[in-house]
Amino acid sequence: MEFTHCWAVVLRHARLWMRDVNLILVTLYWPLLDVLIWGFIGSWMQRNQNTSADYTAICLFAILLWQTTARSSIIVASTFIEEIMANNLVNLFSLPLRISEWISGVILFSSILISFTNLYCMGLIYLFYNIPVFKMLWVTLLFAPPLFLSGIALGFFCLQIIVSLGKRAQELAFILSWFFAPLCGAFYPLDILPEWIQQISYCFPMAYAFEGMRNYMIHSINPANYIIISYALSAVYLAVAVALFIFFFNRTKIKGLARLSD
Amino acid sequence: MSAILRVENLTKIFKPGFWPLFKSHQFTAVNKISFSLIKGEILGFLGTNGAGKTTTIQMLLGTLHPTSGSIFYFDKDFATNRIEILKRVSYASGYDKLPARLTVRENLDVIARMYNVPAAERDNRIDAILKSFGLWNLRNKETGSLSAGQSTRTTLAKAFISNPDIVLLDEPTASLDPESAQEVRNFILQQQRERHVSILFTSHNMAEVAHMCDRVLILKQGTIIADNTPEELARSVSLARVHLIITHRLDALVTYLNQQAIPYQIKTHEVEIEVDEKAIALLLADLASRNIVYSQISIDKPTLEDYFLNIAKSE
Repeated sequence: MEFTHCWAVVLRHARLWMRDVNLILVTLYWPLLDVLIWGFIGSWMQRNQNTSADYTAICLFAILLWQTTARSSIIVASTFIEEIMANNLVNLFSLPLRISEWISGVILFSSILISFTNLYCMGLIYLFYNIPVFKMLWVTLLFAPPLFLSGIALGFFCLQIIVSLGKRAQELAFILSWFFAPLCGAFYPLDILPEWIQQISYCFPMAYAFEGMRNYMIHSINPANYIIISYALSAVYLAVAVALFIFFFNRTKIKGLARLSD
Repeated sequence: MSAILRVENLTKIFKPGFWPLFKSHQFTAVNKISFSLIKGEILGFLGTNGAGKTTTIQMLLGTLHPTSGSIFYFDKDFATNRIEILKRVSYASGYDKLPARLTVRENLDVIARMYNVPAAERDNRIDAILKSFGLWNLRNKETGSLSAGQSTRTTLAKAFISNPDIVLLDEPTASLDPESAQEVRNFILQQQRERHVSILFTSHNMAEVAHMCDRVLILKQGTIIADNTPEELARSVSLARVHLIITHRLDALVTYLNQQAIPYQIKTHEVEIEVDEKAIALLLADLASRNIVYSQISIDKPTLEDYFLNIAKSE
């Protein structure tokens, strides 16, 4: 694997991102809206609770962390969709570029963009709600990495469907990540959910990260166990998702990469 | 001279889909084709739409898996040395596009990195190729805003930026107006002369292939039916076209041609007669004996297009 090739993939998408006003708006506008809405919902909950827990911060951290999963999933899927829509797939994969280099480049690009988005959200949270930057950084560093890995895994799960069905399946990229929001308890404790849904929820690494964050914030419970399980599960999901994507990517060459743009 | 690309019994069969709703029939796009490309040669791939040209190119790039057969570049098996080989092989198509929102220079920079052009010489290499392909003034324009001719030149620049040994060009002049197509052809020939690359060139434009290629493969329904120089292929067609401007006894000429069952077309006083090259002298003698007078005569020798049309007729 050559880093130059991975970096070329990063540059290709970073240059697009920097030039496209729509993409810049998406990166800046939705986090702003989310921070405002969830921050004020948290403030309202705080006013009606007789507790020492900081519900404003909990709501804001929930949205910050959920964005890490949802956006990384969308970024991964949209990088491939962009190549399909630009009719660039054959050009790209007729270069001496290994699929592993493309995958690494996309993950690197996602991590840069997610870091930027998270820092931007933290700036907004500090500006509007005066929550200490150190506290935000600490919670993000603890819980965001497994959520980022989960998002990347979700992105590659979407991509294996897209490489099989072509661009007609592109909407999946935007649907799939949000499908998991209610299941993994991003914005509420899992015990709110019916028992049978809880059983499903605990299959997903995101559920442990969000439960860990809430328990840490509300009850000051050491989140180590939650984080370890979340890391372990997300690593497994990521490995399976990437392996499946590579399998389906190679399989689609039986009919040809060019047909994905048709 | 040894071949730098060798294709042996290459076959692509598209099998029916799995889903009943999208069920299709089995289709053999390329059927056991074998050919080779030697250093510095421009090899034309000629065929009608659906003949298997693009399918073959896709297999030569590794973006489509062959059903059977082998591809060897530089005596190495493509199936097991794909990345190593692609460092020396490049591709451009009249149908594919580079990312529209990136500028010409940004696109070439990404491609140069993919080909491991060293950082120290990357900018100079890009500048040189931009100038060489007449793209210098367009370097900071988004690729999506270029005209069709400029866009094709950009994809060609992309194909030559790595100083490749082999360039695969899939209908590079498709969808271009005649002037832009001529410009692109000149660029390709100039690059080939300066860089001594081997080029595999697909097209369904007969005149273009005859003009550019050292050798031509004609594909029909996935099978190679001819492999020769354009001149030799044209020579194998004996029919020539004789154009006459008749000034006296046009009706006698028509009667004569009908009697002899010689194909012809009439436009006022101009007659185009299709006749075997060897029978032209006899035809002119017959016209003279019948007192048929013409003021102008021109003879078109058989072309590659005639050869191709002959094949189409024999289908």
